[in-house]
Order: sequence, then C-alpha cells, then structure tokens
Amino acid sequence: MSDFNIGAELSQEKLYAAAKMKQKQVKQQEVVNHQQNQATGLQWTTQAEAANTQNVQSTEQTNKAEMQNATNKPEIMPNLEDVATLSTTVSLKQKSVLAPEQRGIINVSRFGLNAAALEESFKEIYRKSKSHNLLLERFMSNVKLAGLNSLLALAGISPSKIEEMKATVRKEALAEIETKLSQDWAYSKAMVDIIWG
Amino acid sequence: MGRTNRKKKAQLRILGEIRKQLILQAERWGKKDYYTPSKLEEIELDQCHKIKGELLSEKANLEYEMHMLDSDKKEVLIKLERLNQYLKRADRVVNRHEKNIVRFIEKLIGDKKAIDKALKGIEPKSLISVLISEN
Repeated sequence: MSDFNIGAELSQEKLYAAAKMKQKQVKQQEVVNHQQNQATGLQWTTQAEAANTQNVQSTEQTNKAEMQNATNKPEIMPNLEDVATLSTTVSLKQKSVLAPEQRGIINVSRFGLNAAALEESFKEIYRKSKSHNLLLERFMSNVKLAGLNSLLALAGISPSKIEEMKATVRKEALAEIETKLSQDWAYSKAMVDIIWG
Repeated sequence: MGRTNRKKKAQLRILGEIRKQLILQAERWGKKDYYTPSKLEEIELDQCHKIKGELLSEKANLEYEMHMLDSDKKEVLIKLERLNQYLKRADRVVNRHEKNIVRFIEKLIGDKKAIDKALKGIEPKSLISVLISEN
C-alpha cells in the first residue's frame, strides 16, 4: 500500500511541476506580446536587447525551477482540485470565446436575407460588370452577378423588378458617361487645344 | 518649345485613353455606334464655343477694369493681349472642328458632283411638243 502511495505522490509532483511551468510560459508570452503590441509597432535596439536578455534570464530561471521541481519535493502538497484547475487554461478573451463568424450562405441563413441590402449590392455589381476593365468585368458578370441573381431569387424578388433595377442602373450609367464625355473630356481637350496651341 | 509639345502630347494621350474607356463603357451598356467621330466632334465644338464665350466675358471684364477702375493699366493690357491670342486660337480650333464636321457629313453623303450628275440623269426632261396642222 505504501509503495502505491509513493507512486501516486510522484505523479502528482510531476503534474504540479508541469502546471507551474505552463503558467510561467504563459506569463512570458504575455510579456513578449505586450512588447510587440506597442503603439508604433517599432522595437528599438535597446528594447530588443533588453527583451532578449529578459528572455534568456527567464528561460534560465525556468530551467532551474524545473530541475528543482524534479529533484525536490514540493513544500505543500496540492490537492487534486488544485491540480485540475492549474492544468486547464480558461480563456477570458471575448474574441476567442465567441464563435467564429463566417461569411456567405451560412451568414445569410443565420441572419436572414436582407432584400434592400441585396438590391443595393446588385446595382453596384451590375454597374461594375460593364466596366472597361476586362478582368473586373468578367469577374463581376460571371461570378458575383450570377451568385447575386440566385440570392435575389431566394429573397423573393421578382424577375420583373430585377429588370427594372437593371434599366435604372443603365440609365444612370449612360447619363454619367454622357456628362463625363462632354464636361470632362471634351472641355479639357478643347482647353488643351486652345491654351497649348 | 519642345517641352510644351511633349506636355501637350502627354495630356492628349491621357485624354485619348479616357475617351476610349468611356466609349467602351457606353458600348457595353448597349450604345454601340452612338459616339461616332462626328458626334465627338460636335461635342468638342460645343465645348469650344463655351470656352470662347468665357474668354469673351473675361475680355469684357478686363476692358471695363481698364477704362472704369483705377488699376494697373500695363498689367491689364498684357492680360488683354494674351486673351486676344487665346481668342484667336479658339477661333482657329472652332473652324477646324467645323471643317471636320462638314467633311464627315460629305463622307456620309458621298461625292457631291457625282450625286448631282446622277440626279440630272434620273430627272425627266421637260419636252415641248409642237403640233402643226396642215391648214
């Protein structure tokens, strides 16, 4: 029975040492992160050197502590509950606790289809799909517009309304082109001709 | 002189690129043959008239300033001289655009003399018939 007790104590010692080490490592990591996340993001040479020396010292200390923990018996024997709390890490940060937000269809299904927002984005993408930039035009017309068409159908927007939207966007775009050509392009060209001779 | 020419060329190149992109966009929206060269010439001519009008109003202002207000007359005269140069250039540019438009219209119509000749051939000739009786 006594042999059994000694064995159990040894395993508890190891567990205690490991938990202590982990705590120290977490603290070191936090210190390093704090130094890195300074306002400017720049690390001066003196600071960097100091950080390096601190790191070296801390690693040496942890090694020593590890050795001591391995050789010496702990002063106070921890209870089983303490070991359990030390061996587990509980994250208190809000970002890590929250479920990761995903984009796309999952998001749509979670929050529901917002028809007004979809219409706005459809108008914007439809306008970009007629861009003079070939790559942008191809991507917008083949990928984004096709996806949005299906989403609009899911949201319950009728094809006639979609056609109406397309017509309004076309009208606006043509008016813009007309004004750009007459006011911007032609005016500046005439100015160049007159001023530069 | 070479420097100004280079600058002008660079600006015209940029303007040409802008025009190309805008026309391409219009074509993608379904207006394929809307912005023809003659249409663009017309737009340019309108803008030239607009600029000419602005220059003329500026000239009138300067003349008023010279005659009515106590301002530096030498400076105003220099400005007026420069403005007159710009007005002459504007006239030249307007004439050039007008000629271009006429040329485009003639191209569309074809050879004017040949058309007149063809029209004369098609038109029925007016004949006078005289009837002479035996009596």
